[in-house]
Amino acid sequence: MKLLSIKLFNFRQFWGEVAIDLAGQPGQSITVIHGNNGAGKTTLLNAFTWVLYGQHTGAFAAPEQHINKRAIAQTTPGSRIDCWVEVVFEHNSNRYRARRSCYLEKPRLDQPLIEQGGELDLQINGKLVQPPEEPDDKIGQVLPESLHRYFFFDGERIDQIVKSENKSEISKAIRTLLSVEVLDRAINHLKDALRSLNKELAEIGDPETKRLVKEKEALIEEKAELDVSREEIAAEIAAFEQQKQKVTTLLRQLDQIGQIQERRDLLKQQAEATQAQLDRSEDKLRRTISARGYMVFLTDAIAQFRNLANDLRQRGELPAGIKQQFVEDLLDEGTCICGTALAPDTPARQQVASWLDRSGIQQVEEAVLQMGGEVNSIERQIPEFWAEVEQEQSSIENLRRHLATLENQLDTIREQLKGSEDINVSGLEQRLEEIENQIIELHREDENVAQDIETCEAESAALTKQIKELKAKSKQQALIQRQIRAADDAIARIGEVRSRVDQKFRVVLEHKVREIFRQVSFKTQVPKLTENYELVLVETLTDGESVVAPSTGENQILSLSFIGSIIERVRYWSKKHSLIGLDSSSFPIVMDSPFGTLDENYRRQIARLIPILADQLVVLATKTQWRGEVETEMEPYIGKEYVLVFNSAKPDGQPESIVLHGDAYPLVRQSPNEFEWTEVVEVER
Amino acid sequence: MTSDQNDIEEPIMSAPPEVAKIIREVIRVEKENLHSDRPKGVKADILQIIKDAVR
Repeated sequence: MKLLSIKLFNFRQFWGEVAIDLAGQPGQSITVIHGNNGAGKTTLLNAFTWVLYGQHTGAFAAPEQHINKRAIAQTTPGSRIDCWVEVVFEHNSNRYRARRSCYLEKPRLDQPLIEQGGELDLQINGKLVQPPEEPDDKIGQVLPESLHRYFFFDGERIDQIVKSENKSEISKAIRTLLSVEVLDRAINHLKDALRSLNKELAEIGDPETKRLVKEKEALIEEKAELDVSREEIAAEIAAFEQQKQKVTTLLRQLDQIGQIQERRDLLKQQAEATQAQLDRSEDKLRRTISARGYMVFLTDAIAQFRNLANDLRQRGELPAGIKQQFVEDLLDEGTCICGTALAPDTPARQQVASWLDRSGIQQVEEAVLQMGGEVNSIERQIPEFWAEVEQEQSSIENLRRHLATLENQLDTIREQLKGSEDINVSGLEQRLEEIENQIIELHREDENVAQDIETCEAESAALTKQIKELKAKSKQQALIQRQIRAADDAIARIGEVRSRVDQKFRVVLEHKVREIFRQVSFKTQVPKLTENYELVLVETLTDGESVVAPSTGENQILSLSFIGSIIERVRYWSKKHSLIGLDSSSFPIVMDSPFGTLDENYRRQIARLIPILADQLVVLATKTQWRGEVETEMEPYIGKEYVLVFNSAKPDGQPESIVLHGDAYPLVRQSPNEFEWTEVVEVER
Repeated sequence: MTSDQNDIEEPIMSAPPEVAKIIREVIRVEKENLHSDRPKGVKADILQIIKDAVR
């Protein structure tokens, strides 16, 4: 970082626009700005810190007020007053123009003045830094805010830097300057990244691939088995087809025999049916003869009966005429049909009773009548019997003839089938049907197996795809593992660098601080940089080292020694170690009230060393502070020199001037009006 | 300049290219964000640096 110029507009004591070009030529890099107390030296120092960091140093009174009072007073109420500071600097061959501004609307009555704004605008090589980039970030990258107090400081308060209450700040500053902070952050953030990578790796997972591969292998095995099954089925189908072919051929050959066999079977059936019918007819004939055959032998008996009956009729015994029962009824009633009483032992009664004997023939009569009917019936049935017998005999005869014909035909067929009778054609046909059914069944089975194979193949293809994806994942896995190894390695190496920085840089820096301190101080106490990068002053005693409490002056020397050495060391390391070193290899120092309350000897030593150590120096000094030894030591390096001319409104104020290079320059002069302000006058060299 | 000082960055110089690239980029990012105590997006940037360096 090389400061080129600073411009102020209505900033505190500086009314209107004031421009100061800063020296930066090698060998002539000191800018001295002379001014009395209150003229604006601290304001100038704070102009730098306000522009770059929005910060003020401890000695800066009323830090909320930036706008020049004369500018406010001369502005009409309700109007706006602007204020800004612009610093131009170079960094790594880039030109930065940083401007921070604020303003206020002047109130009409006695209302409080409230400044607004305060934003930083930054141009790098003429290009405005815009969101998402932040101007503050860009400045921070040039010189971190935490370090600015070591480069823009109030000499009277320089002892504060190394005071024990600020040791953590200086520790952080040293760590930053030595790149330890960068390395530590790099390690921590790489560890965070490692955690993320490990998490990613865990999410990808390997067991899934293994499971899928196993599943696919099982499918391949299953498919192989199915293929074998299909082959077996195909072989079986082929065998059955062969059998079918044989049977079909045989059947074709046996077609004629088959027909004859069919004829034979039909004739057999007919013969059997005829035989059954014959059996039935013979049975019927037998039953007819046994049941009614006796009738034909009754002809004589019938003739005898008729003769007897005819005799009885001829004798008049038949029919009998009166019924025995009728006579008995008359006798029971005791009255004859003629009305005569038939009292017992009367002739009338005896007469009637004689009829009882005559009624005895009646039973014979009934028997004759009954038998006559039966004899007639028998006589009628005899011809029927004979007709029936003849019919059955005829039927039997016919059936026997038919049966004989059938047997003859069968004999002929048997003759034809001689040698072929054992071939079971229908059996073969049945077999053929069975074979065909089995072939159909096998084809169905084959279709099922083919379907299974298809499913198997589809599943296998899906698995292959999944595995492929997982293999891609696996590649991803391997990649992440490589990234993890690389990050691990990076952490280890950065850790090693940090360790080396810690060992080497710390020791070298401590050595440099001691060297400078010894050049300035006549005391035996020496600075020490602890492991925690805290800067302390130690005294070597017989029983070891002891930390001592330095005086204000010693702290000032220690601080300046420290600032001088880190500038020198960082510049050196930045050049040699471009990777881990700070981007800035040069740093300006802006010192207000240099050397504070140091003794003459110390002042001389510091004044001699600082110009050599710092790349660029801006010294803001009073006439007293710019005493002989300081001027003598620094004079050869001065490139620019200015005087802050304070216009005092104090009526009885004493003008004061400073003689530089033979010319007198006013430090304080009478203001031509009621306002007080500071002008900047460049010293002719 | 002593050989010790040369050795400071030796672990980086001797790193495999992808590791050296990671280190350089990570340090660059950290330097850019050094001014901020709680820089935003650095973790993501560094993860990306690793992923970009090791492909």
